[in-house]
Parts: sequence; C-alpha cells; structure tokens
Amino acid sequence: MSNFDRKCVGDGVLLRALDQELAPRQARLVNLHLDHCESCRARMEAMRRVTSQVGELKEGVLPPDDVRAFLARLEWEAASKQPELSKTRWFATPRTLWQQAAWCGAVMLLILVGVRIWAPHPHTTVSQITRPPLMTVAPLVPKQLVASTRPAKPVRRVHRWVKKQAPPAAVASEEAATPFFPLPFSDAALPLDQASVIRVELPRSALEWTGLPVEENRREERIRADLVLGADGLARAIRFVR
Amino acid sequence: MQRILAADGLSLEAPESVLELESPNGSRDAETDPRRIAALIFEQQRAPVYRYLVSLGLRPAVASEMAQEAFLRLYRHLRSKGRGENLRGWVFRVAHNLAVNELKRRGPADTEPPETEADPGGDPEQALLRKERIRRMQTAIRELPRRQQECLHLRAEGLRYREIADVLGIGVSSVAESVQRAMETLARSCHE
Repeated sequence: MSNFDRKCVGDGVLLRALDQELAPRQARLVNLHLDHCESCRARMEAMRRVTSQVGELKEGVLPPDDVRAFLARLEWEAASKQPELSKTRWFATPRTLWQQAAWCGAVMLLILVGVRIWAPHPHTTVSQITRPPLMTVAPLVPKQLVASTRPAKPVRRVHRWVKKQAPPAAVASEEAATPFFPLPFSDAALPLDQASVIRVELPRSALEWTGLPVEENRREERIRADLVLGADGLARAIRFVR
Repeated sequence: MQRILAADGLSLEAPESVLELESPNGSRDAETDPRRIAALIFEQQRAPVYRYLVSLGLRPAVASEMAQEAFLRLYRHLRSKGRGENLRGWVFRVAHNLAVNELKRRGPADTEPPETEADPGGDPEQALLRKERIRRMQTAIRELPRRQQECLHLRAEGLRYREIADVLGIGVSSVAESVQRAMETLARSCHE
C-alpha cells in the first residue's frame, strides 16, 4: 500500500475526482484510496448527494418550444446576407442613441481640429512669409496685449530660432510705420513667452482691419506687416512696416 | 433522426426539421453548412443554455430570447470564421455575457425561480419532502457569492472546469476553488 493509499484525500481532490477532472494516474490513486478508506468514501458520497440535489433543481425548468421560431430566425438571417461582422466592425452602425451622439461628436471634433490646423489665415500669402529681422517679443507687443491686472514685465525668454537673429531694437523702431494693433480675435491673456512675430505681405486693404484709411485705387498693392502669433498659430496683433 | 458529428466533436441527433434546411448554395452537408451546425447545436444545447440563463436570474421569456440570440451569434461566428473549437463553451460564453448585460440593464427577475414538477405518481409525503429539500437548496444557492453560483450552475449543466473557466473568463483553479467552496456551503446547509 502506497503512502497515498493511507493518507486521506482532501475535499478539493475528491471533488475533482467526482467531476472526473483528475489526470488518469491521479484518479487511479484516489480510487485505490477510496477502496480502503471509509471516511473518504462517505465524504465523496455526501458530495455526490449535494451534486444530485443541485441537479434536481434543473429538472423542472424546461425551455419553451421555440425550435421552429429559432429556425425561422436562422432562415431570415441567412437570407438577409448581412456583411461579415469582421469586415464591418470598425464602422458598424452604433446601436444606441448615446453611441450615435458620441460618434457624431468625435467626427465633428476631428473636423474642427483639422480646420484649425490646416486652414490658411485670411489674406496671408504663405509663400511670402519671411522671418522678421527682430525677434524679441516684449518690445514689439503693445501694452493692450498684456493682462491689465499684472504689471508688464520684460520677457526674458525668446524663441530659440528667433534668438539667433540680429539685435532687434534698432530695426524695429526704424521700420515700424504703425504701432501694434490688436486684432479682433486677440487674447489679452496671451502668454508672451509663447508668442512669435512673423513678417508677411498683405494687400493694402488689410489696413482697414485697424481702422486706417485705404485709397480705393491702391487696395491691391502689397504692403508688409508684422504679425504677433500665439502658440496656437492665430494672429493676435498687427503692425505695418515700411 | 440522423446522428451527425459536429465541429467540436459534439455528437448531435439531427431531427428532421433541421435536416430539411437547405443552404443557399444547395448544399445539404451538415458538417460544413454553418446554418445546419447552428441549428443542430441549438437543438441539443438550448435547454442547458436556457436553464443557465434562468438560474442567473433572467425571466423565462427573456432567457428564451437571449438563448436564441446566442445561437444566432454562433451561426454568424461559424459563417465568418468557419468551424470552431468548443462551440458549446462558445455559446455559453455569449449567453452569459448577454445575460450579464441584460441584468445590468433591467435587474434580475422579481419572481421566485420556477418550481420543479412533482412526480404525480409518487408518494405524496416523499413529494413534499423533495419539494422542501429543493426549496432549501434554492435558498442556499441564492445566498452563495455570485461567482460560486455561476460555477455551480455551469457545472450542473455538465460543463468541464476548462469550459467554465472560458465562459467566465477566469482560471481553472479559480473554478475548482469556487465549486469546492460552494459545495462545502451547500453540504453544511443540507445538514442543518
């Protein structure tokens, strides 16, 4: 008699033996033990009794006679020739209202972000944009652009690509024909350390943005201007240069 | 009746109603036509799936509907993926997930679980004792943790531990442990 034969079997092993979940060799050993051990046999019998009582619960629960109904649904499903799920999973029609709303919202958001990124700014000729000779932002930005509650401090941080340019102050004062005018969509709380200035060519009619007079016969002439751009790429202020 | 070996080795008794089905391409080969395989598995497994759904707390009408939906999904699965492994486990898993979603949405049935039929020809005293025993067992099962109930019901439907683990998305050892604890609790309540 092996050691396994003498030692009683745990409930877990007995249950697995009852459910035929043991490996064949282990099951053989358990059966050998059960042949000799009255107490393990009684425990297993108790488990078998509980199992059969649980099974009794199921006896009276009968499904409705729905075979014909199911076969009809199956026929309909086969006849409808729906596209394969795997091929349509990505753009399958959402089933509930909130799912549809979420999809619409996501698409709208994507469109808005796309427009914001790729739409050209009005009246600017991208190919004609040049880097300005002066790039320290602080002296170029009028006080209106700085939040009125905070005292205007000189901004020390300058864009890396701007820093390499020649010293700006002199050129700025020589070239500037007008002060900076805030544009309609300018934001007074624009963080100055994120702003940049670019030079563009615009039609003379752009003077109207700032309320300056424009001669009718010279509207199409090109003039140069400096634009203060926020980090989001939108122009916040403009000044015209000679 | 004709005996057919379905995809995962299930031996199915095919009734005439199922054998009358003809696939759109004219094939009557039960071993390759997904519609016929789905119909055969429905024929054999609808009662266990239905009972399991009822035991989870679904109303009988809803359980029947969910069971049909699970088998329809099996058909779509077979149509798109071809023959699969362990289709019984697959159906139980889909049915389980449908039931869980439904229970989240509507909550369990308020009614008591259906009573089993008493044997009309038996001893009335024995029938009464049996009824009382079943009632006690139902109460004891309802008091078990949810996971143990699920394992116990699936085991009662004849699923192997591996299949139960697949249906519930847990490990085989967790299934064994849940079944063992449930059995211990039920054995204690039977002795009380």
